Amino acid sequence: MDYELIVFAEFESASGLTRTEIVELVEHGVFTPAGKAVDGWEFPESALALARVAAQLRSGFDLPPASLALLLAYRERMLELERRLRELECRLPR
Amino acid sequence: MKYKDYYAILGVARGAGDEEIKKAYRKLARKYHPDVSREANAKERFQEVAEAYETLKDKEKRAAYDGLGSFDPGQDFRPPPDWQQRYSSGSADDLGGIDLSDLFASFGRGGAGTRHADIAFPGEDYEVTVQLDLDEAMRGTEVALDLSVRKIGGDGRIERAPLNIKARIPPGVTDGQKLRLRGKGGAGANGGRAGDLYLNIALRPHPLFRVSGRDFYLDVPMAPWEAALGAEIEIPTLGGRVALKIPAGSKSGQRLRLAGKGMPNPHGAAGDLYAVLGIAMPGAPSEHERKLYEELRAASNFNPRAHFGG
Repeated sequence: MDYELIVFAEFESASGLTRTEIVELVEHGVFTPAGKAVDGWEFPESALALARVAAQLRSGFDLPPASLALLLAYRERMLELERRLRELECRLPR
Repeated sequence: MKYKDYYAILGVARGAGDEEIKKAYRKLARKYHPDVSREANAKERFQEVAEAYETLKDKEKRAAYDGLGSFDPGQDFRPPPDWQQRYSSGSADDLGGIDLSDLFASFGRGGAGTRHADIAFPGEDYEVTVQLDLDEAMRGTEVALDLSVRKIGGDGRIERAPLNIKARIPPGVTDGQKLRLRGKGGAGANGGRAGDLYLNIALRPHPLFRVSGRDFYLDVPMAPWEAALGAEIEIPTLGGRVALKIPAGSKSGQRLRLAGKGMPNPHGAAGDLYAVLGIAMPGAPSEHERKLYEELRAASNFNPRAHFGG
């Protein structure tokens, strides 16, 4: 899910987020679509996995987009730290 | 239909207030949400908890649910004769007008959802974890998936049905990657689009190589004299054996990089293979070897603990 671009309507439908939520999450910097006008936005398919997580977290915890954006930022940071930890563990001889 | 006790699932009494229900849900959601929970059955438990809360948080749905009566969890039951009319068609109770199809579906039966018969619904997305060996991930492969999916039978009952799908895994997938197979999920209803199939890639541990992203790490043991004098050795890669030059004076923990010998990348540079050097000591030395070590000790002024000072 890395390089293909998908149009707004498909992104909305496949993610489970509403159009308003997506627009707000874009404003919070969670997603960076290509294109200027909202209707013409295109999203990398790799963003869909994150959007589905966002939809799950939103419905699970009833979170407003601002809190969701913060939570996703922390989640990304945690994943990056886990990735870094795995890399360092790999460097150590068994 | 099998009864589900939503109150028991949330751990509250039947007369619990909205705040108490919300509080119980939040506590359980925090415990079982698949994105934060480490519990083994988190996904199933979270779905159960979310389903219970979805009904009990809504005044009308809760009244309809309570109207079913109370049974033991899993017990077969039928709704009271006038239940559907009371809660689905706007009755004198003024609790009507709600779509009970979700509630029916939760209990294993498609029921009163006919009011939306002309609305297009997208098909269900399926998500499954695919375990791959490292060489399968490198070269790409085709996997046969045996899924158990929900579908609506001819009598409107929601049932589990087996579904066999063959999926092509492209070369160069990485651990944790999510592949989306568009339109390979459940069929849509009333002209709605088909759902998608999401494959979560998980790599099985390899006996020799450790994997970090697209990079591989391989422990390469050296004899003490190979570390001291340097050597040309052969090491395994997933593409076959390759020559590796160990420089003289190599140390344990030192990494030698073999560019491009890691996981291929269909959209850019392949990962690298790192040989992690380690000095292996032979077993009990022979008399001759022991003498040579003693000669080395006498000839060398090397102090491996010089940085301790004193």
